[in-house]
Amino acid sequence: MSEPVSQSHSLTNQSAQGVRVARPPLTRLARARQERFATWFFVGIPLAVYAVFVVLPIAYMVYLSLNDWDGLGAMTFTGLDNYARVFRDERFWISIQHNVLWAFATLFGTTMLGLLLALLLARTRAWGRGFFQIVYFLPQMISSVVIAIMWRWIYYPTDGPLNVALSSLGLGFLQHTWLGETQTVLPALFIAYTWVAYGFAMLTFLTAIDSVDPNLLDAAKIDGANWFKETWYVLLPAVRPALTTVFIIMGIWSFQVFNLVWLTTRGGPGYSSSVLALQIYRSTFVERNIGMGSALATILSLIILVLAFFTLRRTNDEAV
Amino acid sequence: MTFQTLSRPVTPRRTRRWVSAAFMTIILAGIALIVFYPIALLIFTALKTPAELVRNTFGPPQAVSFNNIIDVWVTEQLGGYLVNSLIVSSGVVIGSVILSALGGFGFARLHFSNKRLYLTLLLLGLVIPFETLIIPIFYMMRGLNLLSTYWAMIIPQVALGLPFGILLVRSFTVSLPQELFDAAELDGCNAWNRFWHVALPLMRPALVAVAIFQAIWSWNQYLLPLVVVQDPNIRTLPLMLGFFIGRYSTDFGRLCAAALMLFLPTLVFYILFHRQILNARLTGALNY
Repeated sequence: MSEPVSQSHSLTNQSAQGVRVARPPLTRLARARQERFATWFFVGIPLAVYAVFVVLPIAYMVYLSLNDWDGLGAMTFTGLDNYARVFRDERFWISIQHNVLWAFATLFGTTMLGLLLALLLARTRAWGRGFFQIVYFLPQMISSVVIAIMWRWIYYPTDGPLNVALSSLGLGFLQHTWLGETQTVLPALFIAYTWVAYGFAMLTFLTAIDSVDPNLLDAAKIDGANWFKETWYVLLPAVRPALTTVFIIMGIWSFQVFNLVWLTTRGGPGYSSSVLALQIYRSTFVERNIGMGSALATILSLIILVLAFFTLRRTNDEAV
Repeated sequence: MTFQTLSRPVTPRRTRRWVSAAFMTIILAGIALIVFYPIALLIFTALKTPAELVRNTFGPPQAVSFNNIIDVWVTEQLGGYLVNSLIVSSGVVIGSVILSALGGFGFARLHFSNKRLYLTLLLLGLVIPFETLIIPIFYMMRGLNLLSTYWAMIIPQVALGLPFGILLVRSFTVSLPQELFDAAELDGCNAWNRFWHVALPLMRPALVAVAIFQAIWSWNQYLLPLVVVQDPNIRTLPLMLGFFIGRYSTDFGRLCAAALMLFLPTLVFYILFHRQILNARLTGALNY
């Protein structure tokens, strides 16, 4: 940190920015004290809000998971009982299974779509790339409640567009109660979710492709590479780190899903579309078993932390 | 050049380029139509009478009917919930911008011990979703007697947006030339002046990005209000829509009309700010 100038300079009342500054000559001690106060002010206030409303709740959640509580009466300390109960609960395993399925299914869908579109946008000479980018990203901006309504309508068995389309194409036998049958509910949700989430993958890949040094491409062209060779040997290696990022982010998101499922099927039929976040909500606010809900939430946090750890490690390596 | 080499008609390169460009544009346009169609469906359905909905499921309404929309505004008093959403989102944006500016500047230009530790703590916050926090936040809010208030929705969203906001502003401020701040300090500026007169005017793009991102996130937020709000008068629009789904489960005309009311502001916002959104999205990715 630069030293304050000697007193003589401070007799002028205007700084280089033309700002009138109060100028009592400050001693080193006073300045240090002032900087320390500044630190408390600038950094302390936001960190305090963060600590109280993010860090503290996390600690509280872990604490709650070690107790038995119904939200109203007394709390009894039960240690790791809740976790034992969670691991014995079939609904927990079903939900996690669905989350994992969600991760795999949406991962492939969004990655393929995203990569394809990124390549189409960046590497062909089509016009209006900016406009198409905007349109393709639009679904990501829509609230999940609107998404839920939209796809409830599309999947509506009686008059909904999907079934009506199938029957008018003569494929009436393919009609289903998409959101009401155990076999079809998850795929139906995956499609809706992929429609929303592919935009992020596309954007990530576009950024990666754009960051490839054009000289590299020119060099490849000079060496006689055609479009395919250019793409395969120059672009795809550049895209690989983006691929990992997309994988991890999609994985994290897949474990966080709640709104879409809750608003379309409530986890049904039965538990065939239940996911972890839904179980957390149900345990806590419907079954009033706060201990178990908190245990589930802690487990979810750990899963996400592990997944995120890989992302953060990579982000640090690459100065994103 | 002899005649032997011209064995077949060769389209000049420029024409071929033009054709391939046109062709790809058509393909992109086709994809865009497919992507946009569900949204179009939403709009169409909102503007159709129930009778027409059965007849004409896919296309635009032949007789545009604003019944659903009027219905939804008048009977359901959608305006009130819109106002609630506006209040909450404004609060979140203001709080986030202020705290991110302060924190970002502090982390970037002030010196204090354990800076790295706090940064890591913030980084962790990037991945914590609301789905895990709702339980403790509910009971905290209950304990603070803040259930069913705007604060209960505003404060947690500001807090959870801080990692994104502070890190974004910080990385932006760090890239500002150090000489600016040194010069200011040489002239006797204390920290506040450095912040207010030097950093803040230059930070504006980063703060705009924070504002936009938090605006969208809080506008679409469903889970937090669901948990924290019991009083129907304080409900925000997404929450109200959630209840609509239960109430009007098969009246899709009305449902889509109500959904449109939530979606249209988002659309306008997106069209206005798409550049900032598309840039900021990547940094804030972890906390969708």
